[in-house]
Amino acid sequence: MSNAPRQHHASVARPLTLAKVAIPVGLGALVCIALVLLVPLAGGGVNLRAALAAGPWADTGNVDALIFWGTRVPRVVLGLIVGGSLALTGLVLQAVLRNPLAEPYILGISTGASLGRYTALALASAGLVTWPLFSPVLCFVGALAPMLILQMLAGRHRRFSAITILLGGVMLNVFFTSLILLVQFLTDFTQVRSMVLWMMGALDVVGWREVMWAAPVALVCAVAILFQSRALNLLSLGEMTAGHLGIDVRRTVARLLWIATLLTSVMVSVSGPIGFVGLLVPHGLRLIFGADNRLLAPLCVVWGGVFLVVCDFIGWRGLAMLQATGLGGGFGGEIPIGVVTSVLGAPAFLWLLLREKRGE
Amino acid sequence: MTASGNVLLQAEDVRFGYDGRNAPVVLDGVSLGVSAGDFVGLAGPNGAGKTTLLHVLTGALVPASGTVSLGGRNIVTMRRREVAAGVAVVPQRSESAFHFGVLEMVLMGRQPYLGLAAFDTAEDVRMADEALERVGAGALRDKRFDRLSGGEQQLVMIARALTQQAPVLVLDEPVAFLDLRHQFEIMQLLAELAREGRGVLATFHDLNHAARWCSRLALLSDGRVAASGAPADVLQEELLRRVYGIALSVIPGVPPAPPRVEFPQ
Repeated sequence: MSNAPRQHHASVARPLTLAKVAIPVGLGALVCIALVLLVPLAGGGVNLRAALAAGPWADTGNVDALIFWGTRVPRVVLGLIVGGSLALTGLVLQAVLRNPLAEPYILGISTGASLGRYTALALASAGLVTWPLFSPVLCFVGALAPMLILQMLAGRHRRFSAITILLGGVMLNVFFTSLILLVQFLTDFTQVRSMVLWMMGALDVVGWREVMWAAPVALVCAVAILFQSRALNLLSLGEMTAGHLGIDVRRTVARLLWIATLLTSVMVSVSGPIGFVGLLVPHGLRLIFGADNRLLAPLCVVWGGVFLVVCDFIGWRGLAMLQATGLGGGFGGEIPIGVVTSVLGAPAFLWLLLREKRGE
Repeated sequence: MTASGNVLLQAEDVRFGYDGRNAPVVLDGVSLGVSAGDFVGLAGPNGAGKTTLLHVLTGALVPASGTVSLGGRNIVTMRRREVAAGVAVVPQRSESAFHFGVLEMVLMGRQPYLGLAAFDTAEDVRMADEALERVGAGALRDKRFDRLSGGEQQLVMIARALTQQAPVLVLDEPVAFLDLRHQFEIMQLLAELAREGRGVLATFHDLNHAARWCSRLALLSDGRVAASGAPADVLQEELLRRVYGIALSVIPGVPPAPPRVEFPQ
């Protein structure tokens, strides 16, 4: 290894300064703002000037304002929140499990949350439960179960290798997916189509309600994680080393995993399980900016959001653009966002797996 | 600067066994001290409890009975951060799934002194650079840690331990797997660090290494200290035969040269 020829993009280590963080994060934030204003205009049908003039709060019956402020802007805003949260969750899991392929969807955490939401939905539609918080609570419990199992596998004596943990997560994913199918099977068939669509991940049926629910959770969790980002660096060296360097490992890991569970379950409850964002975004950023989580964490927040909104845009406009060229058949509607991210993410995952095996 | 009664790290009658039924006792009443200026070598057969003892001494494992005191305080009652400021640990191997740079790796030694503020100050960087120069690894500063050779990685880990500015340095087999040049450099460095007033404790398999460089040698056997003292006093044929179960020969050295241990012909 040491006598390998000069490497091309070896990330050269420099001390982390405020400017080094602020510039790429600020740039990402600007792109986020641009997306909020520009994406809602795509697809036409909205007069921006009229919408802006009407303002977001005026219920003037202005159709432009209704489409712009009522559906398209919250969709982009939610995309930013969900994308940033999922990317950040992926980063946390990768450091804590010391596994660059960890991601809430692959490890079954999102699927566990989905099962929770499915179960709540099924019970609610059968008239058995009326408590409004039942669904988010079950979502959280569903995400917590695989998280605890994985944490046991990764345990402090390092009983299992990174690949074993990954396999464990994949099996949890399969297990929860089967249970979801069971719940679907037992549910009134009129509900099933909306369930299936939700399971593909969806930002198209949201409004400000979802944003208001997701935003505070995302904000609090993200801030908490940012303050732990130095600990993430140390934890990724192994729990023993982190402990020797002054980290209270048990407490820190527990805190981080609770936050990651909460973040995943809330994001799943508003948008369905959207896979691979937590894998692709941290990895892409790591290739450019190196391994320091103090830099990666804030970058994941902004660029994760950008990534998901772009994927959502592809899903939203992609089919229409395809049809405009005569392809794409006569199907209406949109490609679900979870399909877009999985189609991009699964091959990337395989590529990364091969790279890891080669030890690059 | 020799051991002047200034004991930095002290294990007293420590007992330890891992959880589980029928789990044997790993440490069975071990007492061992590291003073300022001491370079203590810890040797013994595989399974004698060397690594476990290091973990107990650094607060990573809690003894079933007995106490470990660091700077006069019971280590079990100290916060991780305080322990890290008192004793720095160099693991046998350090691997990460992520590609940190050498400087980043060394800067992590500043953890015990940092609050929530995420950034490295110029002072932290100066200390890290100084530590890298000190171990003779200044040229590696901007390289990727995972691309270094085993010996270079070990040097960087020692540099990280130095930025921790702990009075005690604990190393688990610091020269295992290293080529001869790195073995020599690292042993010289550790002896020098001890002469400067730190307490150094390291495990070794090679008794000749320990005899040549350590000021004190402790031989661990079945979870007990079989012997402890100056290398020339500890390296006795009868004792080594009991501890290792083979008839090693000890060739006495003319002081100050240490005795040499050789395999049977």
